[in-house]
Amino acid sequence: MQTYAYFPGCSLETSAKEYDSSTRAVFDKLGIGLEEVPDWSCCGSSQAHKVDRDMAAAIAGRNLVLASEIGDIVAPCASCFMSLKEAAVELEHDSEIRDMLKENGLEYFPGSVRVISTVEAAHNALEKGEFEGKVTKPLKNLKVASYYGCLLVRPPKIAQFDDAENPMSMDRLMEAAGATPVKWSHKTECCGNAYIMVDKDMTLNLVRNILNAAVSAGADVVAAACPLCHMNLVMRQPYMMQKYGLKSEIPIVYFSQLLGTALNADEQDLDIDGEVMRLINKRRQEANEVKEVG
Amino acid sequence: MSSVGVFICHCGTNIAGKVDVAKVSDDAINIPGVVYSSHQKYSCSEAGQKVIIDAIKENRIDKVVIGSCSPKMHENTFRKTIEQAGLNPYMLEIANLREHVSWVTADKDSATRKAFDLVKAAVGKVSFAKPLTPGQVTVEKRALVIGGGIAGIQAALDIANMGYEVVMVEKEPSIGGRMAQLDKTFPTLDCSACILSPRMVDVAQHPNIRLLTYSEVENVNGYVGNFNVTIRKKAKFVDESICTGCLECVTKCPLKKKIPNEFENGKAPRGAIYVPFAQAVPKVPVIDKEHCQWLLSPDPDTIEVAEGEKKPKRKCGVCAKKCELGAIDFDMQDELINEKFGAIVIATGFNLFDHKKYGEYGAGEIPDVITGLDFERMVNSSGPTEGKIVRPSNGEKPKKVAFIQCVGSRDEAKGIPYCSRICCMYTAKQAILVREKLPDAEVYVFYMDIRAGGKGYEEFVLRAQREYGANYVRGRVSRIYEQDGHLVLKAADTILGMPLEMEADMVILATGSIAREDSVALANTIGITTDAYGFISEVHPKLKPVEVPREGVFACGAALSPRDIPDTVATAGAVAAKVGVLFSNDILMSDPMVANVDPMVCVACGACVEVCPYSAITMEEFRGKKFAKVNEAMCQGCGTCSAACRPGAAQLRGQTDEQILKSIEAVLQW
Repeated sequence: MQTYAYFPGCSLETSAKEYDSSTRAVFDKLGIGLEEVPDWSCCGSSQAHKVDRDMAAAIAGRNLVLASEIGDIVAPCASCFMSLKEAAVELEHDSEIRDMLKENGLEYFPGSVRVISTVEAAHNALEKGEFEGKVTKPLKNLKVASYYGCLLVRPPKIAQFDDAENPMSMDRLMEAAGATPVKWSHKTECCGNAYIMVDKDMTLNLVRNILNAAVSAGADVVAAACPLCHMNLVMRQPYMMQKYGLKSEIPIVYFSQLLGTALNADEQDLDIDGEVMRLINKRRQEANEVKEVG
Repeated sequence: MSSVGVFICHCGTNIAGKVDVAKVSDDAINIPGVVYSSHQKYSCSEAGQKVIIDAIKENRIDKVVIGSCSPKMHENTFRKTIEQAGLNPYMLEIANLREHVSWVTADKDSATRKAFDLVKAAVGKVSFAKPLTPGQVTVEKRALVIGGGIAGIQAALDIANMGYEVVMVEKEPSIGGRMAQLDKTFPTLDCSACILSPRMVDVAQHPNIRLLTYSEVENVNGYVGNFNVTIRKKAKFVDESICTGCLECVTKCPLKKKIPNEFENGKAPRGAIYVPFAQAVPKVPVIDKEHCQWLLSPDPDTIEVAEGEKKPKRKCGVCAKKCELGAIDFDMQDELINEKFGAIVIATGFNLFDHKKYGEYGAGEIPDVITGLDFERMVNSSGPTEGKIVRPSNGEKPKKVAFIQCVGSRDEAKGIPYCSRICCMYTAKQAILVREKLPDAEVYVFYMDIRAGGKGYEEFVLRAQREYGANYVRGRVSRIYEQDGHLVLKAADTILGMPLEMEADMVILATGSIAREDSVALANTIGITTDAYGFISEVHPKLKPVEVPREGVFACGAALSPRDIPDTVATAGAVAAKVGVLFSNDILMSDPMVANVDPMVCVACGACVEVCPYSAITMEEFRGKKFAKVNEAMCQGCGTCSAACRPGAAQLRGQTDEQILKSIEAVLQW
């Protein structure tokens, strides 16, 4: 069985527990092992690289060394993914940081660990045909806007995954889950999460544009692959309904929750919102009715 | 023992500024074999050459070393000089003291030492030079022109008007190329078809030109003056000698609205039997065998059916029924034609960058985001919309049109790093056309900078801005998306230093020029090289801009690099002149510095036959002994065989193993 080193990151233990449990459930269904990196520490995201790039590489590098015992490292959080991947690139070229790690008993061998996101890992499984026969509860008729955000595919030189401007991997995963991916304009627009404390109005404006674009494209739900995007898109909605008047509210779910539903994973692990579940079932029912009529 | 004369040139201060020429000259007299040594200001001048001639005569010099600039510059000059003094022109060796020494060495002492080393090597090498005499080849005074766009048309007409025979090969059903697809041309705004069509007709009617459309070059052998070319004439399934071009068949083809017409950039349909456009030359339709229902349906003769059952018939065949002359011939086969030519002209043109790579501009999936070529067809009165500028999504007139320049060009990340040279100008032209046809529409042009180098070009761009009111915005567009029935553009105005968001009804992308997808394959067939982007490489970008590194082969137009119509026509004319120069010779002198194989040393291993890039070596047999033989007319003197030959039988004349070893020895010993 293929086994990845799994790096949950801090969000998945706090604000995004359902992303963690649903991710584990999906990979379990796909027959791919996720072994948590032992004694993993903060990836350094959002702050470390702004203070000192070497420090950022070393903080993330520690996790890479620990993961190398297991195999390639998978990170569900887009921000963790980018911190780890940037560190891997940095460590490859900078022997000083490697020496610094080595002095602390952490020897890193360049190229020993490949960093990928859970989207990429799931997409690889899809390409290998590992979804075949496993999609027992397809998400018929469900229109999904796949939201990639900023860090999953960018900067392209580091992410080295999918098209940076028009990524399609998550759309293909949703298609494999039986859902209908919608074409929409804001799949890689910034959600503004990092600026919520600095310039709230700017962030709200960005979120509003994203949500309105998804609604205009006719999406039922937005699938996210980043706990920060997810939080931002979910938490600001009620406030914005009040202040700006959105076109309509739209549920935000993790892509793993949708995949897990299609793969018939345990409901408790998926922890999908009751209202969303009702919507999924409603769409399934509509699809069946159309079929019967047809 | 030979008597070598050494002449060191100052080249003004080019060499003398870094090399102590007097010292090199004084020391050279001590090199064994040297009987005379001097230095002078400009050896290539008439006075300088006279000094050399006189010295040769007075001192009974039989071999000459000249320390000067690169042999690429003046080897031929000095060969003629020593020939005037009565020597064989190949008893000469040039020591490159300029490009290899003075221009690239900082320190004067080491430059002088290196100069002396090179002179020693040249003396060692020339001591073993043998007199050589050039061979002679005849010239077949017929030219092959590959490509029937404006470049090929101009070259073919010019060559034909000199009185030489020309065969033009065009792979599409009609000549005309890219220029035929354009509506108006910059900076004069005259109609492209109006100025091109007469020349297309001239080609078809010229007594010296034979036109082979729907044909491709398959193989090229031979050498300058004597190329053997195989041309595949693809089956048109229409007999050109019978067809009158009434096009009754075309109008009746049931698929006439089904297949995207390449000429219309896929924006209008054609049938399986079609002429690409109304002014096509020749005006004879072809049947596209990939789509024709008759040709795709199985041949009844090959089908076996049980007794009593009817054999299935071929599908369709409407065109054959409609043609009163019986010009449709479904049994027609591809034809291979072998022809002999003295010169080959490559005029294969260019392609346009595919903007599918730009996810931020919708990856080619937003209907109202079109390319410049799409727009050319749209605005053309014989195009898909009969000249009306409309939004492809709903057929309505756009109120706001945005142009984006440099799509693909000057983009190292996604496209090509070079500037395509024509986009600034065609965008300005298209902006003018929009304002002319839709005076109420607003026009915005997003640019990086304006490159309008050309006669009347800058003025033309200013006219687009001032007279026609096109709004030029300096900045890249970072994203285009559809919203509520129009397009949203996100950009930066880098003059205001502000981000910008704008709505538009239609966006036209100035996609860059790239090499033809089959240009590398064609170059391989002809035995020439391309640059990193697939454009044909010229010998020298300034001094030999239309020659390619295979003698007798020339290239013009956008096959060499992106260029506009004036430059294309100019290079086509230049090619014609070069072909004319070649054809003014009845006999060509072949370079004697080619390889030959000593049959007494050859062990017939065949290594040279395999490595020869010009297929100039074959295995021969004489009285039971096998050996390799070089066709001296085909040999280009690259020396690969000589390097591959283990017993040392293959030698390059003028660069023999002996000469090279002696020159190394000379540097090390004396």
